Amino acid sequence: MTAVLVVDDDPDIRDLVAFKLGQAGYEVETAADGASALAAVAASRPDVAVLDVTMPGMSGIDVCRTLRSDPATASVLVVMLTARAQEGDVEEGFGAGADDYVVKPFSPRELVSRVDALLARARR
Amino acid sequence: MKSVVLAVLNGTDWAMLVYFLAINSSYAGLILLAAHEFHRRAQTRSYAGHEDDLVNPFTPSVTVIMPAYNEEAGIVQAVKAMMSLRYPRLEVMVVVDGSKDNTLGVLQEAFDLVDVPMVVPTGIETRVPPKAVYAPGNGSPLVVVAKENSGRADSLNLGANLATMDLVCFVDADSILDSEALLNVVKPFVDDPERVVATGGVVRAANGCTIVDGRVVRVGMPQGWIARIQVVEYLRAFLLGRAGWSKLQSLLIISGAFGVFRRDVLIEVGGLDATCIGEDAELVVRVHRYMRENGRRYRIAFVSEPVSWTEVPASARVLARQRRRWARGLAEVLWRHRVMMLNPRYGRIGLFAFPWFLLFEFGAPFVEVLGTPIVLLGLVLNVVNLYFALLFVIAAFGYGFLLSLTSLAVEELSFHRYPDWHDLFTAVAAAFIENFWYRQLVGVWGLQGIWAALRGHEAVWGEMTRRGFTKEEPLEVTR
Amino acid sequence: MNVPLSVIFAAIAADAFLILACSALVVATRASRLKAERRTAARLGPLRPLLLEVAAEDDPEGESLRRLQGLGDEDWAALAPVAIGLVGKVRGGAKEALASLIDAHGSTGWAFRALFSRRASERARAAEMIGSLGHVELAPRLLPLLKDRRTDVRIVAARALGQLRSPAAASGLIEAAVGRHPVPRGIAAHALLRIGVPACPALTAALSSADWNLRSLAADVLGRIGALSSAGELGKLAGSDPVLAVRVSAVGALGRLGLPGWTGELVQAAGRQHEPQLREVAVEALGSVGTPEAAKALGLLMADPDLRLGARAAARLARLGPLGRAVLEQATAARKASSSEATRAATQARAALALAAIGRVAR
Repeated sequence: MTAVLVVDDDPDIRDLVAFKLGQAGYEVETAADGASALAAVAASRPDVAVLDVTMPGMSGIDVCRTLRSDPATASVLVVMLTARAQEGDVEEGFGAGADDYVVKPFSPRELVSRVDALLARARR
Repeated sequence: MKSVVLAVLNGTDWAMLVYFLAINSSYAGLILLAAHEFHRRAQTRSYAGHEDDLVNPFTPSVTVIMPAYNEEAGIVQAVKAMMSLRYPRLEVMVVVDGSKDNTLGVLQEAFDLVDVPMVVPTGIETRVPPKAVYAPGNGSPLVVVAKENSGRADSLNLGANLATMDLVCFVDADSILDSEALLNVVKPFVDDPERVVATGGVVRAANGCTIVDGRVVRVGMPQGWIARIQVVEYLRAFLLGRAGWSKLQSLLIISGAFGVFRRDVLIEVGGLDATCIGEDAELVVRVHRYMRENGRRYRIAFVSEPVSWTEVPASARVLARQRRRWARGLAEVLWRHRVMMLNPRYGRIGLFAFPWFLLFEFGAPFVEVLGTPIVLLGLVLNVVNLYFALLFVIAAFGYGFLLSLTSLAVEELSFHRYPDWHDLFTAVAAAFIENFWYRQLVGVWGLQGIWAALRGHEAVWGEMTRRGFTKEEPLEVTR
Repeated sequence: MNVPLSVIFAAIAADAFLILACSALVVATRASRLKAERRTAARLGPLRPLLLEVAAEDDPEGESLRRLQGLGDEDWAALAPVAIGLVGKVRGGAKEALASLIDAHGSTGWAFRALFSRRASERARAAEMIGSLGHVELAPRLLPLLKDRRTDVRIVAARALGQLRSPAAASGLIEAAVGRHPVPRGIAAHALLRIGVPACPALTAALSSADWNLRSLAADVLGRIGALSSAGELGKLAGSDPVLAVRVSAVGALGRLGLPGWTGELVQAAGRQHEPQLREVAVEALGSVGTPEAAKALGLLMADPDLRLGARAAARLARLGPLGRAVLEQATAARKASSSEATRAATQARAALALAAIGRVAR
C-alpha cells in the first residue's frame, strides 16, 4: 500500500487532508510540525509527504531540504501545501526540491489527483 | 536629634501616603486602560486576518536582526526558529559581535555559509566595520555578519545598515518568538502605514516553559521565587503597563528583546546610541523627540498579543546587575533628554510621560529605600508608633499586591497563557511575596544604578565624541 | 503623626475587599472558561468527523450533511467556528458543501442582519463570513462598511470584497483608501489586486484623480495586475507627476509591466538628479524590463556613490541571465584603481555574482 505523510500545524486542514487521502486508498500518517515529520519519515519511509510551508519550529521548506539532503529520504515525493502564492515563494518551494505546489484555498479532490499523478509519474 | 526626626516625620507621613497612593493609582489607571484595550482586541482576534497578511504582497518586509555574543550553544536553533516564523517576506541577520567562543563556526557549519563580498551601504555611523558577510549555500534568506566586538547597540546599527527590508526587528539571540509574533507586531504598520514608525511586543519570562525546537510548547511557572516574581512583575509592568502607555500614545520604552522600527526612520534618527546604557529606551525617546521637533505625525505602538519569551535572571546576583543597568539607563535617558521635561513642545511626552517617569520610576527607589531608615530611626527614638507604622505598611503593600492580582486577573481574562491551576496559585503567592523583600532589593539596586549614573557622568559625556566608522570613500568592502 | 488612623484603616479595608474580589474573579474566570472548553470539546468530538466527511466530499448520500444541517443550536455553536474556519481554506466542491451547511444554519441571514449591528465585532464577523462563503451578490452590502468608523471593520470589509472578487466594488475600494477613516492602503491594494483585470477601468480612471494617494495606489495595483493598456498613463505620471510618491509608484508599475519601449523613461528616472526612492524603484524596473539598453544603464548605476543603489543594480543584473552576467563580468575585469567608479562597480559586481552563485536572488 502506498503511504502518505501529511504535515500541517492546522489540525483542521491536517485531518481533512488525511481523511481525504485515506478515503482515496492511501495509508496516511500525520505530523503537526517539522521535527516530528522528519522522525515519521525516518521511522516509516512514506512514498509521499504533503508539507505545509509555514509551520512553527521548522518550516516545510526546511523539512523538504533536509529530506533531499539525505540519500535515504531523497526519493520521497514532496507536495507543498501553502497559502503563500507569490512568485518568489513558489520559486523557493521548487528550489528546495518540492515536486508539486498546491496553493490554499485548495480543493481536497484536486490535491488527491495531484498525489495520484505524482505517484503515477514516479512509477513510470 | 529626636526633634529633627520628629519634624521630618511630621512632614513626611502625609507625603508618603499621597506618594504611595499616587504611584499605585497611576499604575491602576494604566492597568485599567490596558484591560479595556485587551477586551477590545480579544473581540477582533477572530478576524485578525493573519492568513491574508501572509499572502498580501503589500505587507511590509522585515529584517530580523539578532546580535550574538558567545551564543554557540543556542544560536543555530534560535536562527532556525526565527527563519520559520510565519511571515511573508523575512530576512534573518545574525551579527556575530566578536564572540570568544565558536558562534560563527557553528553557524558556518549548520548553514553551509559562503563568504560574500557584500558592500556596506552608508547609513548609521558604526564603530567597527564588518569583517565578513556570509550567506547560506542554499540561498535561504539568512545573512551572518562577523565583526570585532563593539557591543550590542553597535551590532544592531551595523545590521540595520546591511538590512534590505522595509522594517527591522531587533531581537536577542536567546529570544524565543511565538510563531505568529511577527505578524502581530507588524500589524500596526499595516493598519496605519502613514504614521506608525515603531512597535514593541510583549516580553515574557521563558523560565519554566517547555521549549522544543526553539519554540515554547508549554507555558509554566519557573522554580525559584526570584524568577517567579519576575513573571508577575513582567505581566504587570511590561504587558499591562506598556499597553496602558501605548493607549495614551506615550510609550517610552520598547524592549530590546522585541522591537520593530521602520528602517528609514531608524537611519534618519541615527540608530541606537552605543554610548548609552539604556539604549533601547533612549532610542524610543529620541524618535519621539525627533518626530515632534520636526512636526511629523507619528505613532509608536505596543502590541499585546505577540510574545517574545526571554530567560530572566534566576539569581539575585545577575538580577542585581540587570536592575542597576536599567536604573542607570533610565537616569541617563531622563538627563540626556531633560529639555523635554515639562516642555509643551513635546506634547504629552514632555508634559505627562516624562514627569511620571521622573517621579515614579526614577523616584520610587529613593522613597522606598530612604523611607525605611527614617521610619526605623523613628521607631528607635520612639517618635513613631509601631502600630501606626505597621498599619501604614500593610495598607501600602496591600495596594501593591492588589495591582499584581489585577494584572493576573486581566491576564486570565484575555490571554490565559498559564494552563495549570498550580501555576496560577504560584503566581498569586509570588505577587504576595514580592512585597516583602523583592521590592526593597530592586529599590536598593535602583539606587546603586542611579549612583553609578551620577558618578559615571563625566565618563559618559567624555565618550560622547564618538569615533564613528563610516566612510563615503573609498568603498568599504568586507574583505 | 498627622494622618488619622481611620484613613489607614479605610485604605486597608478597601485593599482587602478588592483583593478578595479580584481573587474571586480570577478563579471564577478560569473555572468557567475551562468548563466551557470541556463542554465544547465534548460536543465537537463526534461532530468533527462528520464535518470532515462533508468537506472531503465523501458523503455520497448526503447523510452527514443532513445530520449536521439538523444540529441543535448548542451543537452548532461548538461546530460553527471549525466549519467557518475551513470554508475559507478550501475551494471547489468542498467549499460548496460547507457553505450549504453554514447557510442551513441561517448564517447568511444572520450575517446580512449583523452588517447593521451596533457592535463593531458583529459587523466585522458578518463581513468576514460573507467573504468566506463567497456570496458575491451581497458585495454591494459591504461597501458602506468601507467607511465604518472602526478600522478593524473597514479592514475586514475590504478583505471580504477582495475575496469575493466583485468588480463592482473596485471604485468603492479605491475611494475608501483616503479620507478621515481610510481603509489601510496595503489592504485596499490587495483587495483590488485580487479583483484583478475587471478593476482596471476604475483604477485607470483613478490615475487622474486629484488626490495623489489615489494616483499612487492605482499605479501600484495596475503594475501588479499587469495592465498593459495603462502604460501610457503611467508613463506620463512617471515623468511629470508633482508628487514624488506617485512618480515612485508609476515607475515601479512600468517596471512590472516590463514593456521594453519604456526603457528610456526608466533610465531617465534613475538619473542622479532624482530622489533616492525614485532611483531605487527605477533600478528595480530596469531589471524587470531587461533590455540591452537597461542592462547597460544598470552597469553604469553599479558605480553610483549611493552604495545601496549600486548593490541593487548589480543584484538586478545578476538576475538578467547572460546579458546581465556579461555586464557584471566585464565590470569585475576592470583594472584595480583605474578609477574609483570602476573599483566600485567591480566590487558591486563581484558581490552580486557571489550571491548569485549560491542561488540567492534579489527580491
